[in-house]
Parts: sequence; structure tokens; C-alpha cells
Amino acid sequence: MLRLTRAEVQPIGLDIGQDSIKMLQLEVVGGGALAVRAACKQAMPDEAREQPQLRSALAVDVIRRMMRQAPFVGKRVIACLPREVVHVKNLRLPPMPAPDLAAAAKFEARNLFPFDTDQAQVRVIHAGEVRQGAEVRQEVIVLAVPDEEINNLLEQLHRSGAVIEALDVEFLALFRSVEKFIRRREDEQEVQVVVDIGLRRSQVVIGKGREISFCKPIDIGGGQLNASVARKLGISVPEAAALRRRLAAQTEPVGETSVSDRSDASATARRDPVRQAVFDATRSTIEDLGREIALCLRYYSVTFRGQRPARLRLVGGEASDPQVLAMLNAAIAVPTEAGRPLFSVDTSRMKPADRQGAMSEWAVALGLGLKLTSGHFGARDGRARTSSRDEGAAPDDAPAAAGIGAEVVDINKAVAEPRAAAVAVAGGAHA
Amino acid sequence: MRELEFLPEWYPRLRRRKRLVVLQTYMAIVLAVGLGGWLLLCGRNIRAKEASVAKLRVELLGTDLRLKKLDDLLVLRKQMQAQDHVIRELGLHVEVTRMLNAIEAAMPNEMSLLGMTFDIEESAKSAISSLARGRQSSDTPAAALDRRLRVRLTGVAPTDVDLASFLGRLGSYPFLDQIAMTYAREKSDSGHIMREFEVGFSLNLNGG
Repeated sequence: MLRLTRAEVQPIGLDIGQDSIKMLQLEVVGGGALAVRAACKQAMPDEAREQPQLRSALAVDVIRRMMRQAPFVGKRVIACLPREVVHVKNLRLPPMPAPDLAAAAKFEARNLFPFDTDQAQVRVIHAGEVRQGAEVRQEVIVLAVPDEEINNLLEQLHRSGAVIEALDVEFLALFRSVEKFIRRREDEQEVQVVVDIGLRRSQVVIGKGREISFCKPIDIGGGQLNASVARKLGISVPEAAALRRRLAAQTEPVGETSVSDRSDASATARRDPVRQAVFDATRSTIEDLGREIALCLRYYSVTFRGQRPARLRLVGGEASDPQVLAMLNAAIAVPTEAGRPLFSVDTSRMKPADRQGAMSEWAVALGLGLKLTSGHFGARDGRARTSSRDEGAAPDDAPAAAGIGAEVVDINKAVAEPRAAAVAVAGGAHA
Repeated sequence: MRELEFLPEWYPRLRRRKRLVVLQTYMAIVLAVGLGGWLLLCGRNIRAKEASVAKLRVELLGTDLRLKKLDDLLVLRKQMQAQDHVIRELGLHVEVTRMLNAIEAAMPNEMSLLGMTFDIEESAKSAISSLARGRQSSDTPAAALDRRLRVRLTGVAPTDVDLASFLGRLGSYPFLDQIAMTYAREKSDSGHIMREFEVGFSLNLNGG
């Protein structure tokens, strides 16, 4: 078909996951609509699952093969730094102008990380203002990646024939996959919660409107769920993974899960003994994950006062598992739904096998693919926005007043005990 | 959302440099191909010029040969001119035997020669004739002389008819001029009556 407007083909978003590599190329077609130009997903070699440090090296051949197989335009790639090489610390600083804030955070970062920050790429995200008693402080998220790690990654990706256009971090890509579809002014006040459940670990990203305020990795992932099932049923881990996939495919809900859905899932689980066994095996792990997420939400509510999140989006390889959804819904007060990152994108060029379900595993690749786009894109659902939102009242009790200078926030401790941590933070405990 | 970029500065620089190298390589290839083409064209032109030079050389060789021949001819001409000059100085040599053979050929069978005298007469040419012969003649003092071989024949013939026939034949020789009979008279020898005569003629010894 003859096109009157020229599509802007974006670089390929490359997500090197624990169990699979996903490449997604978007194009902005006439009228500012997004469409998938090409997409490809390949399983990671088994050696990479056993030895995660070899992940990038083993991914080279797979990426090269994928670039040949799928009809990508060009070889420009936006890649993602592996989670294990990105060091994240939270700092609280006195109020100051943005350029000074970044400089102060970088100065403070010299003592935060177990490596020389002169030999590292240090970036700062302004998370927001935090009230500590009468004092207002600015919380910043400091990210640092040693140059050596970046150079290694670049070298390996370069060997695959890809031309690296940009390097990003996962949680930014995750949040971008949501943020790029916010266009309404009222939505800019909405709190977005994205939980990515991967094979090895999960991460929680919370942001208000267009800015990220909080991110936290949680060392619970699909791998642990598979291992629990394998232990319970006496089968191998790959068999357990296949069983879980099969069960998920049999009852795969898309979108928000209601309470009745949850009860249906539990009822179905009770009827099928295998499903029941899987449910029992994974319950404690998923409840742990739910508890961690709930703590993150609580920390966010305490630290950044304001609107409460209306919903929680689950993305990643495990997000479409109805059991996970059902149990998280039970564990978390906020309604949880399987995120559908590609819902507002024309996916007609994707393979039918890749288009099944919520496609929540494409969130990182989509976020990476969106990095160089300008402007925002309209959501396709067209649902009317509810005027009376459940405005969460911020707790009145604020963290204790902090001393002058930068303070390091131990995010794990702070999430576990937000109020106590706020007091501890006021003491100025440096890492 | 504020974007963060972790790509180190050296990577885009490297890419730019790589693009530059690729561009330079491409340009070098284009230049090399251009130079190659130009050299090929030059070679072809040189070969064409060499072929034309070889052709000209062959022509020149022919011309040289002709020139050499011309030189030889000029030398010969000079020699001939020198000989001509000598002949002009000395006058033409007429062999008496050939002269006698020619006279004998003109004589009827019954005629006999009794005597013959050869005299060379040299006289100065008139000024008009000298001018008419050109500057070269005036330059050489020898050319101013008019040299002639005067021949006088005395003989006997049975009749005047034979005598007339003899004079007629002599007159047919182009190199003889001034043919004139000095006398013709009756003579009797041992009862035979015959005509005795004397005929004179001259040969131009001036040459050319």
C-alpha cells in the first residue's frame, strides 16, 4: 500500500533477559501512532542460564542470528545495561538548584560505591522532595556503572554487528513503556507502579506522572517459582517451567483481574490436583514477593506524600501467570493487572506466536525502543477517566528532621520500616 | 521524563571516526579507480601515439632513403656538372672511327674517299648569343668560345647522282651542320671518267 507519510523507524530495542533475548523495532507512522516494524524473541542458550556472567558473551551469536532473521531496518540498537552492573543508591540532599543537585550528588557518590567513580558513568535522577519533619529535602537516585563493565558490554554487542545508539537501564525502560502513553494532564498526576517479574529477580518502579520516584530490585523471580514447583513435584526445573507455562496458557486472563477472577482461579486450582500442587508450591514465594511490593508501596506513600497508586502493572515473563496475578492481588491492596505494554501499538507485523496473551515480556524492549522518540503517544483503550479517584491521604507523620548535608538512604531497610528508616536517615548514615 | 544516557563519549566518537575511515576508504577506492582509469586511458593514448610514431618512423625511414638517394643524385649532378664544366672547357670529344662509320653509312657503294681533314675552329661568340645563353655562360669564360670541328672530305663518285645522294644523307644527320660542297669536277683515271668532289661540314663541339 502506498504511504503518503514517511514512517520514522526507531532503533531496535534490545532486551537481553535471563531466559530470552527480545528485539523490538518501532516506527512512528503518520498521525503519531506507533507500530511494530519488526520483533524477534529467542531463547537464551542454556549455558547462559547456568552461568549468568556469560550471558552477554553468549548472547552475541543469538543477536546476530536474530538481526538476520527478522526484517529489522538498520543495525542501530538501544541496549540495556544488565541489572547486576548498575549500582543504585538513594541520597537525600538539601534543596538546591538542579545543576548543583547533580554535581552534589556526583560528589557524594564518590564515597557511596565500591569502585572509583572517576572510572564509572554516574547519573542522577531527581526522585522528588521528601519532607523530614519541618525540613524539606531532595531525594535523588544515583546510578553508577563502572566503565569497564560498559566497555565489556559494548565490545560484546559490537561483535554481534549491532551499532549501539544508546545505553539505558531496565527500570527507566520499564517506566518509559508506561510514561510515553501518558498524554492527559490529569494522568500526569497519577502514580504509576510497574513491577517487572523476571526469571532471576523482580523490580518495582514507582513514578508520579512522568518522573520516576522510586525503584527497587527484589531478589524473587520466576526461577525461584520454578525451583519451588520442581521441589514439590519432584521434577526438573525445566520441566517445572514448562508445566507452569502450560498451566498459565490454559487459563490466561488478560487485563485487570477482579476478585471474582481470583476466586475462580483458586477454585480451578482446587479442582485440578496438579494445578493445586503448583499453586501450593509457589504460594509462599509469591506471597513474599507481594509483601515486598506492598512494603515498596508503603515506603512510597510515606516518603512521597500525595496521590496513591490506582493500580499496579505486572510486566515481565512471569506477569501473565494467572496464579501469580491472583496471589499478588490477594497480597497487595492495590489492584494488580497484567500490563499490556504493546496494547496501544500496532503489532500486526509481529509473529502470531509472539502476539498471544498480554505480551508483558516486551515491556523493557518497548521502553528501549521508545527512548529516542519525541513526544507522547495516545493510548488505544479510550476508557473514560474516572473523576473521583481514590485520593490517598498522605500520612501526617513525617520523617524526623535530617542534619545538613547528604544522607544515604538504605532502601532495603527503609522499605522494610519506612518510618523507622526516616529517623535513621536523619542520623546521616553514609554508606 | 528525564533521559539518562550511559553510552560513554568514546563510542560515538569511535563511530564517527569509523564512518570517516569508511568514507575515506570509499574515497580512496574511488580515487584509485579514477587514477586507474586515467592511467588506462593514458596507456591507451600512449600506445596510439607510439603506433603513430612507429608509422611516422617508417615513413621517415623511407624519406631518409629518398633523401639519401637525392643526396647521391645531387653528388652525381655535381660530378656531372663538373664533367660538363670540363667538357665545356675542353669541348666535346668526337671519335674519328665513329665519324668515319657515319660517313661510310652515308656514302653510296660506288663512292670512294680520297682524303679527309679535321680542323677545330674556335671563335668568340657574339655578345647577343652570349646573353641568350644565360648568366652561367657569361660567368665562365670558356663558354664564350664557339668550338666546332670542321671536316673536309675529298672523294670520287661515278655520277653526280651519287654525289647528291651522299649530300642528302649527310644532311639527314642532325649533328652535322654547315654541309657544303666546295667543288665538284670531272676526273679521268685510267680511262674511267668520274666526278671528284670536296665536301665540308662541321660538328658542334660546344656540348649541351
